Amino acid sequence: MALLEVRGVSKTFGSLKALGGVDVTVQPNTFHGLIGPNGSGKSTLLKAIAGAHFADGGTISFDGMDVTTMLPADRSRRGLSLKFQITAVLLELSVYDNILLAFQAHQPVWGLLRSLSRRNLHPEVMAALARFQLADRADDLAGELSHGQQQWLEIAMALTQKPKLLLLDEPTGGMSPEERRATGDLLVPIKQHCAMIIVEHDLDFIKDICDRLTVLDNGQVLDDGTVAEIEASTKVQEVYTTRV
Amino acid sequence: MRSNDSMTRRGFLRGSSALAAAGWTAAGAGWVLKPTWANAAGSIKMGIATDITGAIAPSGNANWQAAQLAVKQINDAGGILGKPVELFLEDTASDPGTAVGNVRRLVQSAQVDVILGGITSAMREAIKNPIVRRGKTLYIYPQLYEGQECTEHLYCTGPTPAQQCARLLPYLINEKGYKRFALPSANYIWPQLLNKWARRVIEENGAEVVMEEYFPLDQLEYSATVAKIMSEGVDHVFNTVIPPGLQAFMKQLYEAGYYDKGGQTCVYFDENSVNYVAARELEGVYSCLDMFHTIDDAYSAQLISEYNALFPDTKYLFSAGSAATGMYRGVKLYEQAVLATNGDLARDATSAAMENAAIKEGPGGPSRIIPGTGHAEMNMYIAQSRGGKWDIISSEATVPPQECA
Amino acid sequence: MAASGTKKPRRVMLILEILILIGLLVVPLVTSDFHTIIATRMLLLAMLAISFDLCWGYSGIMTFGQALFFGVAGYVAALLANKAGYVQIWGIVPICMLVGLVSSFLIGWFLLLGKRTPTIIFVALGTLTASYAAERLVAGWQWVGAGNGMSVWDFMKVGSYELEPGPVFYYVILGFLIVAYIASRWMVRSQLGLVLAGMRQNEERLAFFGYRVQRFKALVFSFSGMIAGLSGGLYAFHEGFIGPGSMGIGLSTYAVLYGLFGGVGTLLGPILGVGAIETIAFILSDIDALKPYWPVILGVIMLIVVAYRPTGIMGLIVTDRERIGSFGYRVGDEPDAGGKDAKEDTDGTA
Repeated sequence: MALLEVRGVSKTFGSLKALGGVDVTVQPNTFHGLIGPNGSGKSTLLKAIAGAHFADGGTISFDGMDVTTMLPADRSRRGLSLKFQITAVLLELSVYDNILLAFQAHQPVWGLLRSLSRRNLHPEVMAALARFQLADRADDLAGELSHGQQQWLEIAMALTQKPKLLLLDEPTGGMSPEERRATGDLLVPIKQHCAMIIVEHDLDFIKDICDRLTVLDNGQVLDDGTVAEIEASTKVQEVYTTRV
Repeated sequence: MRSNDSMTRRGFLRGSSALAAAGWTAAGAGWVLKPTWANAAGSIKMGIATDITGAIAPSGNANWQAAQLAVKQINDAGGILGKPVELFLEDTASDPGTAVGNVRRLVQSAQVDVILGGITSAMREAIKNPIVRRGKTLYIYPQLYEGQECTEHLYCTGPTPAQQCARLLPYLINEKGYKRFALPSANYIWPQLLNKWARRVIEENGAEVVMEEYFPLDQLEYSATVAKIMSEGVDHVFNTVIPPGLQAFMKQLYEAGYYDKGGQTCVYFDENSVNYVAARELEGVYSCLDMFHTIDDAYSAQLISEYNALFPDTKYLFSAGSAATGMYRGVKLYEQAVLATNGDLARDATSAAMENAAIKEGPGGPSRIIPGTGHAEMNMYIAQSRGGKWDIISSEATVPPQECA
Repeated sequence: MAASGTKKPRRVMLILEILILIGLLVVPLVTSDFHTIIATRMLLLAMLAISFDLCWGYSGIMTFGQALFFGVAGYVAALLANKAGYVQIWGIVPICMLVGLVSSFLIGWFLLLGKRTPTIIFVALGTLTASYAAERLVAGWQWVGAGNGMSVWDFMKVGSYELEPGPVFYYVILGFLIVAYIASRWMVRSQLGLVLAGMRQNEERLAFFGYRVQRFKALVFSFSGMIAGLSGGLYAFHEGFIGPGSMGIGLSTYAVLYGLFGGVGTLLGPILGVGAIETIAFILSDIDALKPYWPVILGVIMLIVVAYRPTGIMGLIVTDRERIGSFGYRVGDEPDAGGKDAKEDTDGTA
């Protein structure tokens, strides 16, 4: 059974029709890329899946459940996690505290007040930091990290919920080529635990790590298939006059 | 506030230039007047807590000046048993909330032997606790009020409802023919209790209360009330609205043309009322107080002229509705109490002596405390405002307060 | 590449806490009873200011209504004393805390737990309106003294001992302040405090983690209302008077001023803010030329603080890093190092 089924989702902002009946299917433990020219609706679609916007029409079904009108917090509880396009790490907190904040999110309020899980979560926090090459920056403020490192922190925080599906909106935005490569290396091992939808402009990065791609144009699905299929697709080549 | 009314230190000294010439100085934190012939030890400390600023300032300043007059007379005569009287002033600012804190300064910092003051009943209710209960200090309340203040060690030297209304209302009904009364009132304890009294007397004399309404102190909009007064055929307004609403009410009442149709009484109106309302709005208003400038009493006339000599530029006259007469009376009764205890200033001793205090001469006439009641008998005068002066209609000697029997 | 595990923690706040505590303990020993009573009043206002700080400094709730809970509890205390003759501290304290808790919970439920997430402005105006409405309500209600307020004639009692304003009452109030402070501090340094710290910076982000942000706000709002209620009830007995002004927007705004001036998000800032502003007010009340201008002076001070030093007095002493603090273990202090729960860096230092 597919992990995520998006059927006929549409979204209009005022007079702008950002999405007009989009279908996407994502299987478990796959990386699914979402590409298309600027303004094609990639981010809007991602946000609709995450719950940052509510779709005007269509259905979104995640892990067998209809989440079309569910609040983001509730989608998150069910295993759907979003990493924002603009890094939203908490800049005034330390790297450690950022991850801890993510890890402790489902603790009951009373437990948080008594700091019951602090000790137990410590190894998990350190492990997450290590995995994303942030262990030596644990006590630094998140605001002191480089842009690339902040992205990694974001991804690490999104993964703390052990989501089944992770949504990444432009994870390599503003990164240097080395950082981009490193990001790819960090993400691939996650495939064992988690599926991913990645919105990206960098087509090389997408080709390297994704299994399937969906191409959007003007709020509609232009083409959908494996990386090889999309590369060969003439429809897509027409839309993309240059390869970035 | 304009400089010659404002109680800046400069203004204060200027206003009391006569006192300064007579040897008084202002000194220390807060406001202190003591005669220069005194040394601090062995003096009698008298605290005055009154509204120097705020809505009630015209009355507050009048009674502060009355206190100065009384104390100057005492000190000029050599003090009480040779001890000078020092005056300490705290401004209660027409706000009971702040007054509570300021009064505490008199009790704990200056550690006065007696406090006189408070004008509105709201103020009295707020400050009597820090003075009498927490401060364990003697408290003399100098203003006309609604009665029923029977707290121990608290003496009231202003008129009570019995003194003010027992003769005035029957006069208005039986001799002037007023039958339909309106009771517009400020919403606090004085008008509420006074109106109970007034209603009883009105109905006993065969007239009726057509309307009784209560307003927040800061209400400035009275058109609905005034319209009702006009349309219901009210022929007498028994007015217990106080500043800051008073001015607006009387102005709107006047402009509606009521003054051509009916009469009005305001039992705290006196010579100082010209500071609150326009002359045209004062015309014909009745009042009943323990003194007016126009009464035929030599001692009162002398007091008035001494006061005017001491405060030549002041617009706050020595008048009975402004607690000035009650203040003077209170100071002199206290003097008698101290004489009776032979200089023992402890609260319990002076309080016991106050029970029997009496003065043969005072504003409006003699006065004495009725033992066991904490209230004073005094002469009462019914008067009507005509052309800015109060025409005396009748007088009655040594009227009993009828409180706390 | 900074090896941050070697950064020494800055302990300025801890030192400041100790200094302030010593200072407060010593006050009645070095001043007259009159000044001790003034100081006691300041301690009570400090509790009110702390309740504001918990809301704004820690949870992003701008409240112009803390005096509402303060005043309601004060009125309840006055009614208990005047109408029921009940003045025992054992009952008054829990009752006033409960009144503060319930009234703030109700207001918080209405303002914070609606279907849509409220904006800061909405909450600010909502609390302001509630405070204003409450003030007008009691100002017109005869049973509670209407515009005059109520005098609280009797002293609070501890058994048969009467608590008169003075050094003993001061230490009692100081005790309550210390307890309220420690409880608040524990809360804001716990993992719950981490959630609050995150909420302050990016509420929306936290919602995506799964945090029900509005519930946390309602929790802190109720807790702070409880503290405000406690101080209001004690205030009524200490001052011997409670009036509509004790629950109105005037006092609510003072709570905001104390907090902002002292520095929000610190719990110590409100204490310093009250101390500074009330001391200046007290000194000025003797300088008659300036006394009528005190509200103007206060307003100017506030404008300067908000424009140039939004972090208040504490901002001059404590870094933002230290103020926000850390919530986990420091590298090198892990609980498994040495098998014991080694130094937890949880007292708010970096």
